[in-house]
Amino acid sequence: MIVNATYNYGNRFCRPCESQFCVARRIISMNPGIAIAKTKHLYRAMSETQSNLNTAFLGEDFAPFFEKHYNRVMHNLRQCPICAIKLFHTPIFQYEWLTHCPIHQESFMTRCHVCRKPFRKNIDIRNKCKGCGIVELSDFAEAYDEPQSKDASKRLLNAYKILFHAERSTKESFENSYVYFVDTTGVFQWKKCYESDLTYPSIMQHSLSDLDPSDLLDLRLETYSVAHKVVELQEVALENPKNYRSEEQSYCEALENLEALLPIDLEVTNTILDWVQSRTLQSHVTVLGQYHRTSIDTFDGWPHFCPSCFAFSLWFYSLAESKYALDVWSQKYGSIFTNSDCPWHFIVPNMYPATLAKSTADRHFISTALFDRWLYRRGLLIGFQQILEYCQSFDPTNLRLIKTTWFPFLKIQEPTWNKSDRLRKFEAFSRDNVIDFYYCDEDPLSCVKDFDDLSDRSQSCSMFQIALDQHNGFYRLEKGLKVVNHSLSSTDFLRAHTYIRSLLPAPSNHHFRELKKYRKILNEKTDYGEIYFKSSY
Amino acid sequence: MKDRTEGEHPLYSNNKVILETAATVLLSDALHQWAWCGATGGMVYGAARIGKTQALQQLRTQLVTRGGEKIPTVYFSVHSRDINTIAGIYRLLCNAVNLTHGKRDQADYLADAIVYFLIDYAFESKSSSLVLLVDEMQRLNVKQLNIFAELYDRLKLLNITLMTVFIGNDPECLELVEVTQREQYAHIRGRFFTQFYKFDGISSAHQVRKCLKQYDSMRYPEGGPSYAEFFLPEPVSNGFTLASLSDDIWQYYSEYAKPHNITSWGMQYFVATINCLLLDFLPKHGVESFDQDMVDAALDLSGLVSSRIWKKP
Repeated sequence: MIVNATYNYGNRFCRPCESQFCVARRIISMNPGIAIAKTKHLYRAMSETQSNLNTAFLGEDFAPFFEKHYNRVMHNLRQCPICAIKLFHTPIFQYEWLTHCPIHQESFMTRCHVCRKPFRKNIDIRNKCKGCGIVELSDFAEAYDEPQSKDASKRLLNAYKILFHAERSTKESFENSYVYFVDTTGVFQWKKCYESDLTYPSIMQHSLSDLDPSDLLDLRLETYSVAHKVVELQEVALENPKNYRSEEQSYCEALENLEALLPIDLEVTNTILDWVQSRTLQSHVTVLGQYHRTSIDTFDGWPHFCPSCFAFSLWFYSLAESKYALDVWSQKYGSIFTNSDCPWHFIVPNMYPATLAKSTADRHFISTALFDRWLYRRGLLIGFQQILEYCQSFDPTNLRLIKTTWFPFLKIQEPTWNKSDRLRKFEAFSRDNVIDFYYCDEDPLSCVKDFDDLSDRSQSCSMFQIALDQHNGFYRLEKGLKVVNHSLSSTDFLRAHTYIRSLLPAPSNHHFRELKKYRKILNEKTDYGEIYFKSSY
Repeated sequence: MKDRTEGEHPLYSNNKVILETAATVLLSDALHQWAWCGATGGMVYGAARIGKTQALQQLRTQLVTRGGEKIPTVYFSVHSRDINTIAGIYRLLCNAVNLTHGKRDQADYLADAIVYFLIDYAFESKSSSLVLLVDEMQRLNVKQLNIFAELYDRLKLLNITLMTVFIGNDPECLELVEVTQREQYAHIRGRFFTQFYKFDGISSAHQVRKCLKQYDSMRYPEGGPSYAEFFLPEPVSNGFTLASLSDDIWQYYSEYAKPHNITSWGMQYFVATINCLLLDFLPKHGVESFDQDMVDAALDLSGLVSSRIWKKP
């Protein structure tokens, strides 16, 4: 044992269901003077010990569930003040709908109650703090003076069981288990500030999915749909709650900041990618990047169409377009996604639920940061769900359906369009070839790049239009990233862009390999810009 | 003799053969007595090259509690450095347990690291007590003894009992113990220097016989010939045992050592003498030619006298 022990792993202080933050804090405390970079591999070494411990504590069924959450949401860390002193943190604390520690019933804090600084993932060896930093041996002795009581362990175990079932069961069963949990033990003091009989604004109604969730259970939509009921609305004693600005409310304003939303975008993107991967597996032959990279010729092989990939492709395109190229459009035309018939407006920054407020007869409520984040995340997921449903429903051979029903949302407007030579060329071409193009009225030219190059394959023309619009979207995205925003510099955009790329999942099957094509388009200004019109810029 | 494993015989390698001696058994009894009675420390001293370290290495895996559970043991040998500092001892301790540390780490960091290591070590051994064996204690100074008091105190916070056993050479280490008799070192004296055990080498014909019997019983390879038979196949097949020479060997040794005032036979010199006899003299000259001259020559080669009395070459 001595020969192999090169670092202190702190097995003596190991407890079940610890998060990576907790392990990091302990290991850095127990190996003083060792560079943090050197201790990183210790976290991995600890995982086996943790895994055995969790299996013993949670049972074999639950342990993998915990592992999935081990590295969960390390930004904006939340911590129970008593647990912080006792050097304990578990991923369950990061669930936003959970307002109190299941062990001590204390409210969660985002700042250390000892040093008043925000909790940080990267603990510095100089950061000596009982609540958030490295601790002395006496603190260890105090924290571990007695083993975690059976009662506390039982509460924690119950919490994990609830979560476990919530993510795998239907809405009804989760609600039942939730009620059971609250009524019998009462240890979770989930604030139910919002009751279902109150009327939420219509935007809330949109978020309640009536679609078949059978394929999307893994996206945790059902969990969210229940959880939102317990998300807190903050009561304010102002006549005009919209003008109210609390410290927490300032986060709502920060939502408009790219950096604040990036983690949520990435989390949802990764979730959907995981889902696509699990759905398609290795046998799937369609590549994710096909829909925006291929030319008219390659789209000839229509049987390769995959609804899941196509849905993600459209979704990601739309998200990226609306988020990062927003200013390009909004300055002149406003957002193209603000359609009252479609819940797409969830992902439009102008419609952030920051403005959401509830006013009853004598009380005013405004949404809290937790609620805003939840609603934003849910909007992204619902958006994908609807796109997916659409992609699954249409007949790939009937391409016109795609055009007429889908394209209005993706269409790029061109208000300064004039009837040019290109249009005349296009009209002549369609007349000669008797092709019924389903282009948008405002800008037929956006459908094609050069009519001389087009063959008489009419279906392929429509498909080419799809591909073209996707090209266009990504091209815009790239342009958008380089356009200096009013609020963010181009460096900020670039940094955000790098952040996206670094956090996208490692390639594990062909989908993810092909995802590089996205990255390539995002990163390199290739000659794609030459293949279609540039007039929109 | 011509077996292909001949070159790997344990007797060809120094320190590979560990004999159980009466002193080892007595030391084991003493350590168990200290541990079971809750002593916080003790001291084992004896002449140099007498076999203290070997005996402790042998015993470190054999210490048990009253309930029969193993007591984890950490062995640590003090080395001299240019500057004898407290941080230096902590660094040596970290090295002894193969614990990673920075080159310029302060004593605070090193102390913390070693304490956490001991905590984990006790936890993994499922024990609430630890034994720390500090060899070559005569190289310590009195300030450095405070380290072990600190370790004891800090481990006590987590209900882990640390027993520190110092091993040193007589008489150098006794000078250090004398220093601790001063009033200001009462905390050190009370912790570590209340229990003493004097480790002796072989001091009787009976003990020689016990050791030589092990040459007759230990076998190499397993199930093969005994050590004595391996090198003296014909005499052993005729009923010869190495233990039968024990009285003569002890008598010749006594006559050899008496003029030099050597009271006990250190294990290193004993093993060297017996190996010399068994591997070289007896096979070459025959068992029949065993006599005092042969033993004296073997004793000369073992370096027993030259270790005590310097002779001009």
